Amino acid sequence: MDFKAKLGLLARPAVSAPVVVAPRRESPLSALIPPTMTAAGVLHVVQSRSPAPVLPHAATVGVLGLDESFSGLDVSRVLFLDTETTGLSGGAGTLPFLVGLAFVDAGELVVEQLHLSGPGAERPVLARLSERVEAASAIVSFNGRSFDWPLLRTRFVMNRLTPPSPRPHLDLLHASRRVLRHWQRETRLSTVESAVLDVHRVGDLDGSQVPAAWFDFLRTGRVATLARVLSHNLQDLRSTAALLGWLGASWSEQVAVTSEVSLGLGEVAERAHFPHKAERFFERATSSAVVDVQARALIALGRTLRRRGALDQAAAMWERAVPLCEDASTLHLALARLYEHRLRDAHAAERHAVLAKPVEAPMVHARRVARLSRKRQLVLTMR
Amino acid sequence: MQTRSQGPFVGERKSPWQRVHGVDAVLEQWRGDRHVGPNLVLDEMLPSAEASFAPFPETLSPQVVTALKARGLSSLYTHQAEAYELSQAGRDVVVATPTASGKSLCYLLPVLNSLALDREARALFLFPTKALSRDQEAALHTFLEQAGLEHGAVTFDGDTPADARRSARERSGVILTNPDMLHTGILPHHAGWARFFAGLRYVVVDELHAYRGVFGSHLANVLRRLERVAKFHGSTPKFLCASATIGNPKEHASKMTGRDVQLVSESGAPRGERRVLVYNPPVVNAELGIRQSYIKTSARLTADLVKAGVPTLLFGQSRNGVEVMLKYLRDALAQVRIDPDVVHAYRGGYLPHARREIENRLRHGEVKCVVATSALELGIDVGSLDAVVCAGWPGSVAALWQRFGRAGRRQGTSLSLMVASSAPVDQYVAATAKSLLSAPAEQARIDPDNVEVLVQHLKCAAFELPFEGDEGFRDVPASQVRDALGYLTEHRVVHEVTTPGGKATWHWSADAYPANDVSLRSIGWDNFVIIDLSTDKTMAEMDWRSTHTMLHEQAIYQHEGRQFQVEKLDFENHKAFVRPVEPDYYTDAMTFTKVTVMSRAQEAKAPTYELGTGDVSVVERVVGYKKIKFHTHENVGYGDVRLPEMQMHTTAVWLTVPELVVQLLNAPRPDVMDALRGLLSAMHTVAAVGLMVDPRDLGQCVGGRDGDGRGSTLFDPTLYLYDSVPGGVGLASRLFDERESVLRRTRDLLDGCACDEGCPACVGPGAIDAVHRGRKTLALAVLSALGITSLN
Repeated sequence: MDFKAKLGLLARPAVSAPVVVAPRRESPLSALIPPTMTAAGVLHVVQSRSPAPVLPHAATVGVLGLDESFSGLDVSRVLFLDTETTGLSGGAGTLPFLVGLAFVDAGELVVEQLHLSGPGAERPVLARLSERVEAASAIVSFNGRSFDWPLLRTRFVMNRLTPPSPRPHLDLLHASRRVLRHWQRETRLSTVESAVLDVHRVGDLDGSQVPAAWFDFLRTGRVATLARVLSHNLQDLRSTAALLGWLGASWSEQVAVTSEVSLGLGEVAERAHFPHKAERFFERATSSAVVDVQARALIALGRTLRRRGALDQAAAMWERAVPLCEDASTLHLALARLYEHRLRDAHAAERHAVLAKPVEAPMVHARRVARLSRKRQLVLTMR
Repeated sequence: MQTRSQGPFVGERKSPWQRVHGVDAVLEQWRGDRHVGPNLVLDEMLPSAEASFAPFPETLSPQVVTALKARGLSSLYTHQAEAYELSQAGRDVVVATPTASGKSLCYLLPVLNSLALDREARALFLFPTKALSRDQEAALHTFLEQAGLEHGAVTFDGDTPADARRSARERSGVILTNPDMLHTGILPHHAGWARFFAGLRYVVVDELHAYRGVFGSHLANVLRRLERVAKFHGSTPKFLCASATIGNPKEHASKMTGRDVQLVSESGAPRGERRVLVYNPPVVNAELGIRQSYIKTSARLTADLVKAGVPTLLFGQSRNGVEVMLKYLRDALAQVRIDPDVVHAYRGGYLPHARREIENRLRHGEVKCVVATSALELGIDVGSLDAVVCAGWPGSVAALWQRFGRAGRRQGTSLSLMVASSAPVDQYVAATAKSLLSAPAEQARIDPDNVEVLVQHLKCAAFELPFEGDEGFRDVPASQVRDALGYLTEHRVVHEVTTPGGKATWHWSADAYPANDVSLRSIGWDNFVIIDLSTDKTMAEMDWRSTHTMLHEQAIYQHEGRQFQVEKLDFENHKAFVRPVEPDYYTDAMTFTKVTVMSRAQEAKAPTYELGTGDVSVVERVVGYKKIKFHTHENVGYGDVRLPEMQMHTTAVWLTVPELVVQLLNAPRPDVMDALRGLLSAMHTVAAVGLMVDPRDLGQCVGGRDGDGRGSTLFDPTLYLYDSVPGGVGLASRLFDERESVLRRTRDLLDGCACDEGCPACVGPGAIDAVHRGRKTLALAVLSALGITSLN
């Protein structure tokens, strides 16, 4: 059997409808996006403008990204990035076929979408991307740090081009997860935008259909679905920019946020060493109707109070949190320590120490309880 | 010592206070024992060998020389120097010298030298298992440190933490990995490895002999991809291979790498004395040619060694065999009050941490005996073992010597013993035991052009880099690559684009990561996990194919000497649920096989028979199982099995006996069919041993001429011998070329066998019946009718 016949023995394709793409000089993509001639070749690029959101100060960006290197950033020159790809697995064979960029120009958000006309025609796209990145002060994306950017770097290598020099990268997936974790279990751009930005997409293409849109275009030249990919990507970029604006405004306490978001903001403030801000956010969060959030807020508030020496208040917050916790053993232990070592109240300390049994090693626990009981009796006799 | 000086006399041949110690004493005991001595059909001493040295080569970097001196070396063995000089001349090299002859230094020297000369030089080390790369990493670290090199060496596999991966890619001079990781984790992400590939000087393939059959064919293709990717990043690495003694190291390495590889095979390393023994258990049923169980015998002889304090490795043929011997051995030791825990099993299905622990305890002497399948064959140094026992023929001369090589790795006398089973090939080996010492080793076979394998890797290659114009795939001609790309285009996984310059290019165009769908070995993604229902924990894994025979419902699954019954096999979710039981039997699956000819490549017509080769489809189905009683090995029952059939396309040779010849024999048809099955079994033995092929790599089946054996009567009965690897690795065409010799040798085997009417060594034991002619007589009549006469 020759090679071809053996190939024939392997499984046949499931669908074998013949697809004929009429050969033409011009890419069928031109019907959707008119071509522009650039130094690197023909580029299909489309720009759309909309009012720009108010972006936060550099310092705020540093807090949101928990990265101080953002502090001196020129926020007016950040570049928003979002790609549409042929798959989510990554690797040399995954192709970003639409590179969406956005930047602020004259008070407007300019979305620039660079569309590939076909495989092997990436150079003009990468050249433009490189220019935009070189001109930018930082990259802002939603999940771009581990997905979009490494994929684009790969494309530069595959096309034997030097990738642009590295820029600081603020990934809003992580930033918004930190802020929204008590409010929303899953942090996807679409859920975030509907919840905090009040953006509700109608007729939007589902992300899982994006690869198929590209393959369909490749085989048939049809651009209808690609048009929907473009608008999906456009909305993603606008939402990313708006999300950064919203996160900044929330941090600066310029917009009202829910108690749950307050708790998240308080935690960020605590990690970034803004104790007063943290205290304010936690205090707002204690009014949450969700028991768990309220408990966490009280515990966190107690923590910040204790740290600044307001010990009685701290103890009061924790005492309030105790009945709200399903398992308060750890809290009892913290209270026992606070009463014993800081407030010198052996009686209260012993009351809590007894309840901390489940989280302590038996020996340690026994010793603590014995010591407190001794101390209490000492106090009694001294009276 | 684990033996105790006190204890009741429990039917031992020697009283406890007379108990022997050491290899020599055990040997004396065996020779003097009338139940043992006469059955030793081979008892020879292999002499020790003197070392032959060569000075450090002048071109060797001073840093490397410093490291060698720090290790206490003042010269090299001759083969190490030879390998080094060849590499410096820019050649690809394969070193094939015996176990423990210092093979790793052969590839380490050129690699270290290149690192010493160039900060940007890189090397890739491939090992067949993760455990091996971990062992080598530790050794390499010491070496690099002694040489004052700061390149670093990192094992990159599934267990490497994410942060270590990044530094491995960017900075490490040597990456140690396995073919599977190279295939799924490195090549598809080569852009992230740009610096590594750009500096790649050497690719080391250790344990080259382990890459045979499908696994080897896959690796050859992974190396094709590697070469293509390296070229993209601007490097053309050289290959340095190390192999155990096989018949065709040069050819194998050349086929694997696509280069004209230079062979280094003269070892300069010293060897200790080795006593080689073959034990053929006595016949217990002369009519049926049945001998004492080799499983029980091996366990008993191993027990003698363990009792004498000899660290011993016992190799079994199958997982089942290993577990049965473990049980017998522990029982035997318990009788003389030796802690059964000094014996352990070791096999592929065990989870990694359990295996590491056994290796450690063996090294520290807490374990005196390990019962293993071939897992230990792969170079893990477990310290000095004084004896190796092989229960049954391991399938090839090369495999036997690799197993034997595990004993006496350093100096002094060691003992290597093979116990023959009743299987035809074992008996053939036992009968010709004297020639074992001079027998040439088998050849390792791969077929990198196996279509199924090749197409899968072309997909992966297209994912890694688009194909351009008339690009070949290393040694695959451009025309075939084009055909395959056309096929893949039809399947819509690649897309053809013509560049403005008019060149055709093929780009990967599917939302998939093809490497994840291609498993390099049967063990891997499609493993079944085995769950113990009594603890709800995963206890082991098993590959898809073995699952059919080992984990069907009601099967007795054996693990670490304990028995479990399979209660449920969830075929879709790849899970088997077992519960511990204490049966007095184990199970043995029965398989039904059907062969259908798909195309006839070559045919040779003799006046009285037809012989051909070509492509066939083989369908195997497990139809039931036998219950075999422990110790007595009686058959105590049957059961049904309902499992989907396994189908594969492969290559076969066949011999058709024309209907006319069958009629002429003038014997009842069932008798003729029985004789033909016996004849095929003899041909199988001849093919396996005479032509140096592992018997398990060759399947056999009697069917009809076109193989579609519908109904119970087969016209033009046909004997098939097929390659048991999907797609085949070239065994069939080789057998076709050697057809005359195979037939003549089969005749010789039957003529020369001393039995009356068939025994396991020839056509298999036949039913004794006064009315009918015996199986052997009839088989000889068939041969005569076909005009096949003796060579002599």
